[in-house]
Amino acid sequence: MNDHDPISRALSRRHFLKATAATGIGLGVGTPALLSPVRAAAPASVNFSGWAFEPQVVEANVKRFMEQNPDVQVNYTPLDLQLYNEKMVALFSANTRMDVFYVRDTELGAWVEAGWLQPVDGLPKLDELDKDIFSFNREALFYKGKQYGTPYYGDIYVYMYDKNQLDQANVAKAPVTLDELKNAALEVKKAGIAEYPILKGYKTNVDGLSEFWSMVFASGGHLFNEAFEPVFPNEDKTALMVLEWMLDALHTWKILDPRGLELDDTQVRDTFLSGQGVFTSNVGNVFPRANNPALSKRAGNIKMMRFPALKDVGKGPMGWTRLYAMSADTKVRDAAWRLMYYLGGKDTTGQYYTAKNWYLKYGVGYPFKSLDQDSDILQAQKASGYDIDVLRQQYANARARENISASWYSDWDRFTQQQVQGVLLGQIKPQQALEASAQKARALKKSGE
Amino acid sequence: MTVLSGIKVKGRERRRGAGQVGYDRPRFALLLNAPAMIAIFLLAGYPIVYSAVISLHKYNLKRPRVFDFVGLGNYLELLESPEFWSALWITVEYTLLVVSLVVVLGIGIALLLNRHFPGRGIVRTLILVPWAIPPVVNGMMWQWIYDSKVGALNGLLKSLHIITEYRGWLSEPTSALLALVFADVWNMVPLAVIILLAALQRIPGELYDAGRVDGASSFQLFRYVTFPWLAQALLLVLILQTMSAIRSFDVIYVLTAGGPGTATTTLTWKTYLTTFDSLDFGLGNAYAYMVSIITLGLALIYFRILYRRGDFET
Amino acid sequence: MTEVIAQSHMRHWRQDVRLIALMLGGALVTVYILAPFCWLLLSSFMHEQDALSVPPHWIPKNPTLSNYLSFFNPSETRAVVGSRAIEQTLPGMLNSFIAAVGTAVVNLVLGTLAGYSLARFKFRGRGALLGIYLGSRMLPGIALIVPLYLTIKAFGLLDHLVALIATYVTFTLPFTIWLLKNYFQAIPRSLEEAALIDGCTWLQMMVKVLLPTALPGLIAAAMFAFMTAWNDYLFAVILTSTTASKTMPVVVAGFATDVTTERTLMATSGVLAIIPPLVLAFLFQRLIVQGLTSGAVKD
Repeated sequence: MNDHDPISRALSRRHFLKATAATGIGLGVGTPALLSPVRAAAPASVNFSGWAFEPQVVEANVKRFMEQNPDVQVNYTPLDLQLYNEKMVALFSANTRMDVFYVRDTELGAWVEAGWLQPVDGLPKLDELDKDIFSFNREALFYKGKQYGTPYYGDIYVYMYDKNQLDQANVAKAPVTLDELKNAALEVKKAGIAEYPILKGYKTNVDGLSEFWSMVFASGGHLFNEAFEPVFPNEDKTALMVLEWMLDALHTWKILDPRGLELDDTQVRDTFLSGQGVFTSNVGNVFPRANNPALSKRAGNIKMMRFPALKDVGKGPMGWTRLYAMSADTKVRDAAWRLMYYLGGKDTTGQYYTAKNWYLKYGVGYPFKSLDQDSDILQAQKASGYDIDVLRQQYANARARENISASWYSDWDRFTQQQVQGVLLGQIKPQQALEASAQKARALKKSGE
Repeated sequence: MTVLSGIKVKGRERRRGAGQVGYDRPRFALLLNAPAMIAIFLLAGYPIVYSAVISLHKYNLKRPRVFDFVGLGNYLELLESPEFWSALWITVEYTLLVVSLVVVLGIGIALLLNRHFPGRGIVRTLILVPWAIPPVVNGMMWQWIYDSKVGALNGLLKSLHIITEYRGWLSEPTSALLALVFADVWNMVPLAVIILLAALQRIPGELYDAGRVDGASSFQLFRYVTFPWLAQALLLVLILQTMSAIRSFDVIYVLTAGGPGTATTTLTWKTYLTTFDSLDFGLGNAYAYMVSIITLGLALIYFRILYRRGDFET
Repeated sequence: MTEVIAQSHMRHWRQDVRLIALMLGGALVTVYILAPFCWLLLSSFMHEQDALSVPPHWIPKNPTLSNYLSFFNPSETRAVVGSRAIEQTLPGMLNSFIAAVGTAVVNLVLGTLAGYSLARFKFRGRGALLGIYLGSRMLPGIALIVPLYLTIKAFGLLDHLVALIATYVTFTLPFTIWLLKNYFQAIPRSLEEAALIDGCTWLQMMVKVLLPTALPGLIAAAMFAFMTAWNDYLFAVILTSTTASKTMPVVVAGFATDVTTERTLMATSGVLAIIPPLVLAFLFQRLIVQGLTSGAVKD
């Protein structure tokens, strides 16, 4: 802890047990700046952390970076995927030296406000890079007009169905509107193919509002204006109508599986791939695996459809972004930026090496428009059974959540997920639930100012 | 019985004289406590003080420059919020269910395993299985068991024709709470059994013989022989289980994430959300201290009820 | 004469019934304990897709050892994700074991000293000490994350097993002390007095007389400390970051990623995780019996 840390200040000021206070003040001394950035001879050392999704892949990428940049030494530490945010909060509180790390778009605003990140505006080749990033991904890199990172990956929320089973129920055309979805689901139900044709997870989770956002966006609606003021449920009625549709789907038409309340996206994905449900929505990177016979029982039958909307207005779903960001007090800014640019942009040969590698290996969405034309990627997309036109249309129209960069986003998100669960449980009316959610947003916004 | 054995020991002590054996050497007594005190002080001291200090301040990590002393402000804020009372009520229900089930099952199984029967050794070893499963793994295991789509419980009940279609055990508020309770109880029972069994093994067999000769019934034997000898161990079990139930985190983290709605949002879960989701450390630590105060309060009540019973010497 | 025989028949019959009832109870307890675990065990022998079938296969259709083999030959795994978790499982078990044994040993030493003193001596501050021990464990773990991290960092012990042992000792010690205090109190003072009169020093008396008598209590305490350390997830996540100190629960949780959950591998590592404690329990089981008999002889 350093001297502007309020806790150690309070402790020493109040003369709390001297030994414990000393423990606190002594912190942070252990990490002297190992290298001065001025010296060109010694390699700059960059500490890099991220949640441990396939760390061996990251290690290989980092190794490749060091081969291309022999003057930079990267120390990569994968942190546990679970409790990543909690651990990062502890690391930041202890002034642990981290130069580059992963951030979820849901946390960006909060972490900037906490003083943990620094903007990257004006750094070499950033403007050119930005031009090739999908707009919904680019939007998520900004907070209050400043850019805080390069994209690690970005994806859209995808609605999918089992083509085979729709055929069996004599549904010829994939639904586009919620009304068509309802009718198709009723047909499937009538044909006895599934008791509840729509399987969707509603358990509280990071990004748990993805479907809700996607339906609102696809319908051309809004939840927040540019000042992060809620426009739902009255000024813009889209959200209310979407929620009422969900409630009807569950209770009136009985096409939405009530047991989804306890499932998160991972569980739904696993059960969907094992053959349950006919329609589902999930993260984009599920799709390639859904049609991989080694991993899915219904490989070859899964198709993607446009995210269903109240009416067909040609819009798309929500998309989200994970980013590489730089710590506020890094001493190796230039080297850190080079790493960020390599991982979240191009390598020295001008290739989007990392993003492409992630996509081909795990179907993890890429954030760069020009990769759409990459022949390897196109081939992979065709092999996974995408209807390329639908995919492109959805990507081109995907949007970042409107208040995603508010520092209170995840707070509001979680509260709203509880409200939605309350509606589906029949504990509260859609109108009331959304009023409460809007109220919560206003209160959070007010307390944050 | 207790009184008798107490008098016996005390009488012997008085006869020999405490000085001779050295039971009145306060410095030595303190010295023996020193290593434990140092260990606890070094690692637990700072967090306890830190948490207390922060809970008296307005402090949100998202506003790092604001660190204002507000006295009991955070506590008052929390007492006024319906979220606190809802979480408190859920915590009470959850704790009550877990503790009573663990105690009843624990005593039952310990009494059973204290009797001689073929295969007892195996059962005594197997009883440790649930305990050897880390709560985070336990949570995942139960998730697969409860799973509404592919779960083993649904599969079992359906094949036994007890249910006609798969149910979402974690999808409804009441059954979600009960499901959490059962998962936690299964994980915690072995500890209770071990402690109670260790205590049962100390009971001299002659006491039962004497009781039987006097014509005492089984219940009377339990009430007047077993129970007093068990009281101290029971106290320990009650405190341990209460603490662990009130502060249950891993299972909720894996199984329900506080839902559906707020059906399993306990005080500890609320502490977690406030601290790490909202990054409101001031209020979050106030929540943490409320949890501590409640736990301590319950511990004191247990003491009042149980401590004097069966404490042989002091 | 016939009456006596009938009575003894009656007694035998009653004993038989009692025995059968006891064995039935034992069987019931075994089922309760093992049924949920069996599902974990069965899953560990299944292929990933079979683990999700409806209705569940109670006996795996195509049982496989591939999940177990993965752990011993991590490079040839079929896992989609989580190959790192596979590599870390065995080192993680070793780390868990060291941390758990370390916690148990330190607990026994410190707990015996303090527990004995509280059981036998009357001194000012005794009640306060008991209160402090108990009170030090009241804060919920989640509130300790940040300050504990700061403390461990100040000692320079991050990503060190010592940090885990120290943390777990502070968590378990209060109860070890309580447990042992109770246990010592129930041992007649005459035992140690006799040893002291025979010319033993205090330490000799403790090692030769008191501790052997208190063996069941010591084992219960050691088990408690061992298991608490073995089971902890939260603090292991926060305080460790590499294979040097990552423990089993942290590694197991790594099988659940954003992309997929490797259920069967996770189940397998869960099964592996319980082997060391069970083996120890089995050994302790003998010791408890021995402890009892030897205690009885000396009494």
